[in-house]
Amino acid sequence: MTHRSPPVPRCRGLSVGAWLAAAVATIGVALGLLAGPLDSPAGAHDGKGIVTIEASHPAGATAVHYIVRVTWEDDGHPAADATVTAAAVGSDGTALTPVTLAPADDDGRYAGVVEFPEAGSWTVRFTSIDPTGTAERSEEIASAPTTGSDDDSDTTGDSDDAADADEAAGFAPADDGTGSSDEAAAGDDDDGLPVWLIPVALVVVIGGAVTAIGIVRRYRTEADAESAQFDALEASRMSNGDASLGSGAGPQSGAGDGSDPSTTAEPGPPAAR
Amino acid sequence: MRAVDSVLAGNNDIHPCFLDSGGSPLAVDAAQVSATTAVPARRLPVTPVTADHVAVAGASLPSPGTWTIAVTAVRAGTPLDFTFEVPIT
Repeated sequence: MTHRSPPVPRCRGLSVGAWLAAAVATIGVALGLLAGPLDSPAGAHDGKGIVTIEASHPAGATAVHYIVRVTWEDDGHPAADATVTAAAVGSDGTALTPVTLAPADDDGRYAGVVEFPEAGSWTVRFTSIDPTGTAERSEEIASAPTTGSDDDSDTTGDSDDAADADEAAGFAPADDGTGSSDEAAAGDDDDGLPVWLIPVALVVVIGGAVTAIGIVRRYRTEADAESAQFDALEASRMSNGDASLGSGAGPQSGAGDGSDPSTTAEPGPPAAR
Repeated sequence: MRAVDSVLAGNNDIHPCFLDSGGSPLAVDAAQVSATTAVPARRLPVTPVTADHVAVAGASLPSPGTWTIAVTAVRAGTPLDFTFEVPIT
């Protein structure tokens, strides 16, 4: 008689659980392997850095403003937490105090100004720590232009003293080509009176004088006419009086002002005005 | 290289000066200073003073114990690492 061993469902059940566990673990490891390179934290960077000089422009007579970018060599990510300096070395080996470049953005850019003490050939070495990297650049610094005295034989007579004062005070030159500065300069040349007010004042004064002279001359003419009429009336009145007085004595020669006595003897209408 | 003006707990000024093997000043291009004790290393702000001298003003070393000061300098692209211990009381 043979005995068949009963089935062991637990073994079968354990086997399924083990397979599930193994599958989950495999998937988890795979996801971990995939996610690792795609999303590595910033602290996981290691290795060297690459320093790239992106821009430079003058920042004064003997100063240059630099913008550099630092990236990690392994993956090209920006190094936003690096220590970056610019150290200039002269042609005679003189090393200037390094200038720390400040972070300019979150993309690994750093910027700063290097002041060169004198003209000449300089080698500027940009160095990064964490990550470590370096880059060099040769810089030719020209001697600072001398401003000199303002003796440019100004024969045109225009007043550029205001412009010179503005330049000394740090403002832009008066003649900036826009035209607005010309108006400002013109307004600065007098003692505060607008230029257009002078011809207006002249017109008012001359017009007033002409008007006053005209009024005086008109009244003077009228006065002369009235005076003449008054004299004529007086003469006629005197003639009438003489005629009445000399009515029995006949005309007197030499009397009056030469007018005809015959006409003056008759009473006539009053003289027309 | 010499550093650490005070060994009392609190704020300290650290002045790393770089010398070559003959004792002459050694110009470096950049330097970085960090300090650590029982906590992870903390980077300290460095101000260049001359080409061979940097300064850390007011470095906070608050707790007594042995602090490790790590200095990394770079000269012509070559990193130079220095480490020294400072007892803080």
